[in-house]
Amino acid sequence: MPLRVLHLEDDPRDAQLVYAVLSSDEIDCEISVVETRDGFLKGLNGPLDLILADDNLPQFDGLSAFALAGELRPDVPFVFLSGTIGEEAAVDRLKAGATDVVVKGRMDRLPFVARRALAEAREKMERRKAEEEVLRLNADLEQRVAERTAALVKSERRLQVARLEAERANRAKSQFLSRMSHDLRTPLNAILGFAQLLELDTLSEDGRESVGQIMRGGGHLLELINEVLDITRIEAGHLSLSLESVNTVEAVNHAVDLVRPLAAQRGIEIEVGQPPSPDLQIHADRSRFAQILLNLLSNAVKYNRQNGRVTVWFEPVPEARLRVKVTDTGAGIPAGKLALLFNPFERLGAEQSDVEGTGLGLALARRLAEAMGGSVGVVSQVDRGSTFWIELALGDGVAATVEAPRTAPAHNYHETNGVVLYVEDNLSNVRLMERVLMHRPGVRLVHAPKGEDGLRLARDEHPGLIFLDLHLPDMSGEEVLRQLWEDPQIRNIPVAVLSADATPGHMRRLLASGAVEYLTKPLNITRVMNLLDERLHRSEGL
Amino acid sequence: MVERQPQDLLIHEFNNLLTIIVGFTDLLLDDALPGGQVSADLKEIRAAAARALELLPQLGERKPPIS
Repeated sequence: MPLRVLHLEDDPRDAQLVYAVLSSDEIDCEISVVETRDGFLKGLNGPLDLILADDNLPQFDGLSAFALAGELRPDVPFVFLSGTIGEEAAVDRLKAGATDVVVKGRMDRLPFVARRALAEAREKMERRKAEEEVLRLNADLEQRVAERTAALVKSERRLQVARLEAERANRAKSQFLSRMSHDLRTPLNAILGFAQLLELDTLSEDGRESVGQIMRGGGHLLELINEVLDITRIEAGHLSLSLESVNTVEAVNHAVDLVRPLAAQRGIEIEVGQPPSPDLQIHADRSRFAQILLNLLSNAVKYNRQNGRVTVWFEPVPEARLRVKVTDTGAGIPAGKLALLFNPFERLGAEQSDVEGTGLGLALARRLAEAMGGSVGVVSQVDRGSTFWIELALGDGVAATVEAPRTAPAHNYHETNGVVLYVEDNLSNVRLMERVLMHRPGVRLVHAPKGEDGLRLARDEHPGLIFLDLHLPDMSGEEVLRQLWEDPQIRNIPVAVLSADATPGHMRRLLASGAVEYLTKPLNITRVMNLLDERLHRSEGL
Repeated sequence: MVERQPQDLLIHEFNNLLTIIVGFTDLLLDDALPGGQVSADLKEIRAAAARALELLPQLGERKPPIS
């Protein structure tokens, strides 16, 4: 491509000379010669590689041309050609940005200047191209950043939706749990209460069997509810544990005693192995440890064969820990199914075998053990049996011994007389209590549906015993207890509190604030009658 | 098969157990002296189980609680 030159020159000879010099140096060029401002302006608008300008013209001048070119075509190299120019003036022009200054007497420099100008122009063009490329890449990058940001915003939104969804599911779950524990427990308490009363009546053998089925069904329902609530408490970190040194052998013997009747029904023998020491202690929550042992032992009986055997072992393990192992002689569990055992709800919805089980027991046992810093595990051999174990840290203190359960003194119930006040808003519970008291004809029941009524009736009737429900419509049971305690007239009346949600801490607080007994719902009818005999017999004797 | 939620399984189990309770209560009611104490107790059990059965569908509802 030829070099396109705009040449500002009034002397055609000079113009010819320029062309000749450039051509002689084999520079292929197209020169457009102008001598006026208009011509120069026009030339600036065309395609252009180099500007040559004479310094002195009759109608225009090189400096003005330089200014114009700087404004309109700053990209094109500008070379002054001058017949006479002083060194100072030349330096000024170069400083102002001219590409070069060539004296007409030294035209031999022109090809060199032209080539250099051209090279510079190309370089400039390449730089511009590179800059454009950078700009393009930048724009591209910005676009990609924008796209990525949009994607992030989108996934942030998706996360938010998921979070909202999880919150909604959680709300549904807690709603489910609160309905389950409150709404469902009320009818369940009635079922279990009245079924206990039926057990006391003399029925035919078939009748007793049917009542037994009702009791088992209700008991299983209650167990399910409690287990679900426990698992939920553990998952939410709300389970309160009181860890202490527990006498392991005592706890095991106690649990074995509870399971023995069930084992005897199926001809199963339970054997407790020799402990490394009789006062072997374990670091645990006493009631939760007992719950786990009971679960492992009753499973070992339920899933055993007829006339089988259950063995309990004590095995010290490294790092000051102890395993209590329960081995059965049942059918064993295939390896593939072992992990499923500890999944909650594993047995729910499955085809029921003739062996009852909630499917939550082992899952709860494992979580409870973990909450106490321990673990629960299993090894099994098909057709030989399974060994379940609980592992916990050894206790370091002196193990407190378990209080022997209080046995009620034997009373003749005819000697049980007096007034009982029942503060309770749920009528089905009141009917149950009325029905319980039919077994104690000397006792008159007074009922208060609210705390305020209860306090009034306590003053008016001065009962020998008060049963106080903790959930009342007008005030809490704790508040009733406090007001009773503040009134010297009635502060000596024994109060037994009743509640469906008994935590050990809650029980301790209430007993500390003056309650004589804490009864959990569903009511244990025998315990209620023992309490009546004990308290009302005594009050009559005073 | 659609995977069932644990709470659906629980409700299913509750339903089974309550049905057993209702079944044996009805069996006993058939043999009980009408108007007698045993019959009255059985009716209490029957009514409570029916209340619990009525609650079950609400238990599984997936709506957020009404505030």
